Amino acid sequence: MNSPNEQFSRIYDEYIEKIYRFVYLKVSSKEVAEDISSKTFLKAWQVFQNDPSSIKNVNAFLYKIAGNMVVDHYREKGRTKTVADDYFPKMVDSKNNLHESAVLASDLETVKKAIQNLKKEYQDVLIFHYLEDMPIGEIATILNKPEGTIRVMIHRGLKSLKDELVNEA
Amino acid sequence: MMTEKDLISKLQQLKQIKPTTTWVALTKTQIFESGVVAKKPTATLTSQNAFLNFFTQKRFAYSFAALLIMLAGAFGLTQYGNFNMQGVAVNKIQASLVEAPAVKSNVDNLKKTSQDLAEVVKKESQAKINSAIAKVNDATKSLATSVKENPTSAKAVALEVQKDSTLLSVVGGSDFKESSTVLYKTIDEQMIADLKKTTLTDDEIKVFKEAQALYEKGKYSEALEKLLFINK
Repeated sequence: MNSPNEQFSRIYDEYIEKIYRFVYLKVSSKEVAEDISSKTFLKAWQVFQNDPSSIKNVNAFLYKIAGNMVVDHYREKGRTKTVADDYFPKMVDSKNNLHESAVLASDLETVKKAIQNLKKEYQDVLIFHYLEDMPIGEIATILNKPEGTIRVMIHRGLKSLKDELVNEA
Repeated sequence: MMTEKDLISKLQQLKQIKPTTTWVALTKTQIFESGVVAKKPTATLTSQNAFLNFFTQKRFAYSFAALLIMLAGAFGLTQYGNFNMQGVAVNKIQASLVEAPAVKSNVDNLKKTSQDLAEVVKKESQAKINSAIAKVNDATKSLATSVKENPTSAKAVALEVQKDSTLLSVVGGSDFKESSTVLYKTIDEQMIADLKKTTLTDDEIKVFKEAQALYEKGKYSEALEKLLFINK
């Protein structure tokens, strides 16, 4: 049997890019995304060390922590005083650096901005389904919603994204 | 007119967003090492090129060097009787080092090469890193040899290594895998030999057998964890 370190090491390797991408698309700052992703795995490691059996679904567990930390990030910044939670991703951190320049070099930036203008719930389902290739059932587990609801959210999310892209064009 | 297929295709392009390999590696090390979260470790290192992959490994080397410095420091302090590491064991080490100048020499060499490596990595002097790593590897192997020749020091070394076993597990696969494996294996051998001469409880016998099985499978760090559990 593998040691806890080895087990968590594999979890880290499997999820670090996914969690970073998930967070980055919500905060749009490399530094903030790194900070939140680090804290996500640190917290996960602490839980894993204390009681690994309490983690029934690693996928859901990590995205839940990351999502909560993103909310905390905006709350600490006082941004939730002026906007509803559903729209907080509009208020992004904007720092120009090499990482962002790489993204700006293509039309990725346009899509990224369009995603950030979506409701949080639409962001989540689109990222989970189209970027992380999660099946509907897995997304339903993470978001604790029926599969039918997730399908509707994906459909509406795509429509909203299309509208955003058309508006920006 | 943008079709749904076009839209999904654009969306999937965002998969290109990835963290830097340096940050990924550093954060992993720091989470396992001490629970301290890495903050902005890559201010000047943002592109994912071959050099960064190389440098990532060197940062691991730096961390491992820190462990080795700590190990060497522990030996140094025991000589002055100030290092409070499980009383009896400390006395044994102190005696063994006083009586074994070869071990003392190896410890000093390890300390020096580790400090050299730490300096080189700090300065990111790529040309000198390989040489410094080779020296630390040699020093680590020499320490393993010393432990073999001075079995009474095995447990004390093991206790220090245990403190950073998470770090060592992360380091696995990097420049120090071979030498750290040798060190683990040597410590395991000495502790197993020592425990064979000791009267153990039923529970301890069970753990001891598990440790032996892990040792025979070549899982030396895991075997060490169990051996230290018996020794607590």
